[in-house]
Amino acid sequence: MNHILSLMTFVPLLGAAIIIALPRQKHELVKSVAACAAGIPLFLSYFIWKGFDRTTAAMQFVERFDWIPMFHIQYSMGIDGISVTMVMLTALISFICIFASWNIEKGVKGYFALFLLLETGMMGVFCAMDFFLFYVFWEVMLLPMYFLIGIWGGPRKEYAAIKFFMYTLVGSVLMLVVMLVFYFNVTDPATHEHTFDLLVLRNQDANSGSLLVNSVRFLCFIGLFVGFAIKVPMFPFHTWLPDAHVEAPTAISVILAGILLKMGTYGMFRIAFPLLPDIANDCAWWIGLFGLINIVYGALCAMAQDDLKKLVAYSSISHMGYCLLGMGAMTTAGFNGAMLQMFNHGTITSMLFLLVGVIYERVHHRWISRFGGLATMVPVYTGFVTFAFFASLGLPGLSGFISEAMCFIGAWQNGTPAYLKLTILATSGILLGAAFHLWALQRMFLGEKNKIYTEQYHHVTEINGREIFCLVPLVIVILWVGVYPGPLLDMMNVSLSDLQAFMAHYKYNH
Amino acid sequence: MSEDHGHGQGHGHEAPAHGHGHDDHGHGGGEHRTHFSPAGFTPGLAVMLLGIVAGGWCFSAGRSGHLALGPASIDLNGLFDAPWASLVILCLPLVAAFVQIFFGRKLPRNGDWVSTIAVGAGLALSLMMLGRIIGIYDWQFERVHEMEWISLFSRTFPGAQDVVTFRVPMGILIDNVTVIMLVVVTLVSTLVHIYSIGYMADDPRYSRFFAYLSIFTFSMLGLVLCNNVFALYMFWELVGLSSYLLIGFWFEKKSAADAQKKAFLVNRVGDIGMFLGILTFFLMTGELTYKGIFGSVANGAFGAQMGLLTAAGVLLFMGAVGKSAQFPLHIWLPDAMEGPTPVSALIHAATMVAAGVYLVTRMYPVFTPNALIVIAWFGGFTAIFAATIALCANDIKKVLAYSTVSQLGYMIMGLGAGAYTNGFFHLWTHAFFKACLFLGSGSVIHAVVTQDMREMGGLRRKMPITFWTMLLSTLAIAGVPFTSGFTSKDGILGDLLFAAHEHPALWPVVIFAFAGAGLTAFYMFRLIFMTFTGEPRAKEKFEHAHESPWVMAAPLVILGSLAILSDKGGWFQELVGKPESAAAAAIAHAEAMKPGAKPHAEKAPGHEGDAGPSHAKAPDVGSGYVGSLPVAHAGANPYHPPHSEELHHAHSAAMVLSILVAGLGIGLSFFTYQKKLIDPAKIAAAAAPVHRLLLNKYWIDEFFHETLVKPALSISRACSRFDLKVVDGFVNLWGKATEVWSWIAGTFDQKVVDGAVNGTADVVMSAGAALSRFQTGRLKTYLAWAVAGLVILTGGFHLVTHWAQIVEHLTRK
Repeated sequence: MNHILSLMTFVPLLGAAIIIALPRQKHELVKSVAACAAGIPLFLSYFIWKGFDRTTAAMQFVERFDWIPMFHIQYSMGIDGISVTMVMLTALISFICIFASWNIEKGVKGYFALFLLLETGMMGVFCAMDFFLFYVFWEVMLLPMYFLIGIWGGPRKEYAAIKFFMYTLVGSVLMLVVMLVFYFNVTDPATHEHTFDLLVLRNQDANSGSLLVNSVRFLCFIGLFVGFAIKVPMFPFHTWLPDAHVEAPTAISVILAGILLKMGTYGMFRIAFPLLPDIANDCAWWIGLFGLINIVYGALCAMAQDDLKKLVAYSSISHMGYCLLGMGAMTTAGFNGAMLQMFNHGTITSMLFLLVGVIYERVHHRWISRFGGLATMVPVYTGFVTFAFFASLGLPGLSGFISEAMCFIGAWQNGTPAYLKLTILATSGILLGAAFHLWALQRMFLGEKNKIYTEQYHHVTEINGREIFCLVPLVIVILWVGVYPGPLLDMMNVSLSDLQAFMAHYKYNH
Repeated sequence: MSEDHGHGQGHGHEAPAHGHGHDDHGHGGGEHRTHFSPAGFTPGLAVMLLGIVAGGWCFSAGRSGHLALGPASIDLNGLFDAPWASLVILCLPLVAAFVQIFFGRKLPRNGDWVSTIAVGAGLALSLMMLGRIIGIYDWQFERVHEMEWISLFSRTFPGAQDVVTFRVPMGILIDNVTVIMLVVVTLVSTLVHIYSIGYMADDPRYSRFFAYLSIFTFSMLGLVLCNNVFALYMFWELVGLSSYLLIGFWFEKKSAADAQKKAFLVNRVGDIGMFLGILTFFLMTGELTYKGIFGSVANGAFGAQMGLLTAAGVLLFMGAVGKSAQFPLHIWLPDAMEGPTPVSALIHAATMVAAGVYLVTRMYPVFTPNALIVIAWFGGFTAIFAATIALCANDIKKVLAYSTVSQLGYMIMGLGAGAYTNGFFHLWTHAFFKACLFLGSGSVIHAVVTQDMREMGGLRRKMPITFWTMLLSTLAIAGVPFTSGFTSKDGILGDLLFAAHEHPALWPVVIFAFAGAGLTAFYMFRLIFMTFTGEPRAKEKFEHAHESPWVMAAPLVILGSLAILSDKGGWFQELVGKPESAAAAAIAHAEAMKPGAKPHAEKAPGHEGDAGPSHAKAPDVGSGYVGSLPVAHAGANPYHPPHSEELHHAHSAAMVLSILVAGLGIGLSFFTYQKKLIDPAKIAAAAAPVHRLLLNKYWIDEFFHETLVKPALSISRACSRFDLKVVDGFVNLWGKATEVWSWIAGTFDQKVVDGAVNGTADVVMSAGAALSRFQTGRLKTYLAWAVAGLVILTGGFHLVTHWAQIVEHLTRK
């Protein structure tokens, strides 16, 4: 199992290659190959779960060799507590999404090949330890996403796809520039060569001779932060998200919200914070402030939506705000809370988007105001939606609560009056979140059937076996993390507390 | 007759769309729908009697410490030494809930017995525990079982030794208060389960109802058993969920769906405060367990920040304001009556709404004197405020709902005024008589298919069991001597009177409390007279009325008896004693920390002058008020100081006064509604503005709607528009600008640059044409792209290299 990360990353790519070679008409075969190609990483993630050493902050499952020696670019893969949960989440969500896409009829080959390519990109981003490699995977992921939205999307798919593409590209460019700044200004103390190695770039005490002046460091941080904030998405860079979500097919929305958004916060944890810890500390309050804005603004916008998918999209914005709030706190509980929130949001929002897809597939619209009284017709579906909504609004016993509470606790532990104010204001998100979820639940499922749009009820059928199969694993994970988060927190805690200590070190020695 | 339960029809509500009494909804046979005659001796009654005997047996077994099973005898002395008994009580309803949700409809009788047996077994164990604590008879009895749930550590620097900085334990705390709460919850829950077998018999979602009841019972037991505030908060929200599910059980009605949403959201407002309170305690003490927080606070974790300690306590109390429906967050409870009546009895009268009182009881040591005064004010104001609304309500369940709000106010007020034992005692007695009243009202609604008391009257003859049990409970709530309610309420009033002597700020509360007691007696007897005596006002409804079957009547009998008996024995006062105040110790600490104070606590009296008046006063308040306010009926309880003269006087005065106001209330009610000597309509007309005010419940709902709900909705719409027009508009504008710019650049490119390039391109084209003999045409395009890419990349690198040099240049500077 020396190459488990490479396997997890490139088996989907292999699957994509096989799918391209398959004959065009064999839809079932294509889908089966895709399922296998996505299933293998999931299977392998079991070994990661078993084999991951929870007592060290060091990189594990490391693979490393020179890739482009001329520019000191390495193919170096590894995971620590910051990435391990994301890797497992990616494997799980991708596998589920294959089945969520089972009804795709148009361009089956292309869809699944691009989907698997996307999975390769996502896995790679979470495993890469080399900045350049990270960047490459980041871009690899972008392209299939563009086509998946642009070809298989809804009515305004071109607009949404281009918007998504342009936004992400801006982020990439910012990241590229900063990456090169670092490359040309930092040398590896061991080899005295320029390097892209993230671990070396982080270890700045050893290469303080090559440290940049503060103004440049500040610009670099802003570049990285904005680059990643676009992905989060953080207000005011968030408007690509509702459009992309609404237009994307169900499975792609799930991937988008479940995994792609996490890359933003992951990038901050992995790159922006460790590379520029002093600046990150200086900006901590601002990060928290944007977290607060995300929480409140996202929830308020969600409340006004009539399109269920848009509501869920805005709820994602609100939930990712908790991550920012926890990260800005610069405390262990805050970091752990943010990381756990990333994982939990990945499962909960995936469930929500899958459920939106279920009803959309039946009645071909998502207008909340046109529904009503669905609970009596489709009790099982209602049960799933209620579960997901309550998980999303942070009901204790389900995973969302733990991470939200930890973000708040972490933020509270920050202790500075300015940050306490943010936290107090942010708690209003608890109420707003409950409000828009319950209101939507009532308008769609409770009360009497809609008297104007009666036609649609002929198409409303109970959730089917395939859809339940997609949802049940998520239900289990949400319940499990909600009831007993210990094992998952154990995986991330050491790395995050190490990072926190690293950050704190630069706060005081700055 | 059993076709309809009359869920709120009297209010003009539509009956649920699915109707009732549908046989095609998968009921397992019609067996359980048989109506037992109240007169005859039936299996249902036999089971009830058996249950009472079994309960008594469990209790006495616990008391003696030995459970005799034939020849074998199980030693119960170790009942609390391991967590198993509590865990069984806790988990049985959870298991039952899962069974009901997944298999409910496939089981015989739709599985009602699964939930009932699960909670019944919990009741047996709880009674055994109650017997055991009475057997042990130690007011400081306490056992804790704890495990690690979340534990995070931090490092001071990378790679350093780990230090645990964030620890959430999960555990069980069993003391007398816990066991008493366990009995309240399981007893009322069991009786409500049994009652529901009759009341809900024809509901198409019969098994789902029991599933929700089980979820509730589980959550409530967890709330009672847990040993830390984090878990408390979790179960706190979970009972909120069960309440949400059960209020909206008939969700086809819009009013029910509205009410469930309202209940959850209003509760969340309080919960936010509570959460911030928990966070504050955690931040200052680093602890989450009750004991840890108390110890830490007493040891001066708050330093000199006594204002913060008060604030943290009040924030924590906000949770109780929400859950226990105190003003101004009481608005959800009357609406919650949309739920089925057994739910109102269990959740919205006896147990869940008492959770706020339990919270104050549990966290009592951390409340500073100032925080307690705030609490007393909240409670006292709510007590009279809700009582006035109940005067004019005509919906029988609404009267009971406001009476619940008012009684909860009494408990909270009592706790705030230092009546720790009596405040909690009122929770105990109130649980039984109020559950009885609600179940009785359910029985009435079941019989006459209306909730409007103006359509009732004369039902005493038709429903004797319901009448007598409700009357007993009404006597108790009105505070008539020799009932349980008298003892507990009188205890609160006496303690309050005593506390007011020390704290003038409490005098208005005293007035609220006594006036509220009179009003309570008045409106409760108004309910009895309007419902059960006089001539029937709706003849047809009266004709159809009937006594309820034994499954419904038997719980009434048990609860009605408890309304009289639950205060007897005197064990309660001996087992529940006021814990030592951590806040008082903290205040002493803070005093010692003040710059003027000598390091060693003995302060000379003459020292007071230069430290200012607050300096001398605070510790006095702290020790005199929180720490040593004597508790009534203190006996062997070693912490209780001996009866003081003033306390005795206060209690005598309170007793006389409370009997007086209760008699006044009952008498007025009698002359108004029974003898008709006073015409209520005339009084209403004479005080029309007041009447309108009360009928509209002081317009509190409307006030919140206008000031909070509406603005929130318009802000949300404004946000959405802002997002679409401004934020996204900016993005789109940017996009447009780029498009325009690229058109300009493109034109320039085409006309000027391309001219030069075309020549080069010709060469490439011919080379490509040569290549395309071997390759497909598409590849050529790719190739061109690849070349272009390479050019851009190289150029980019070049540029960046130079840029980096510029940066380096800047660095040198």
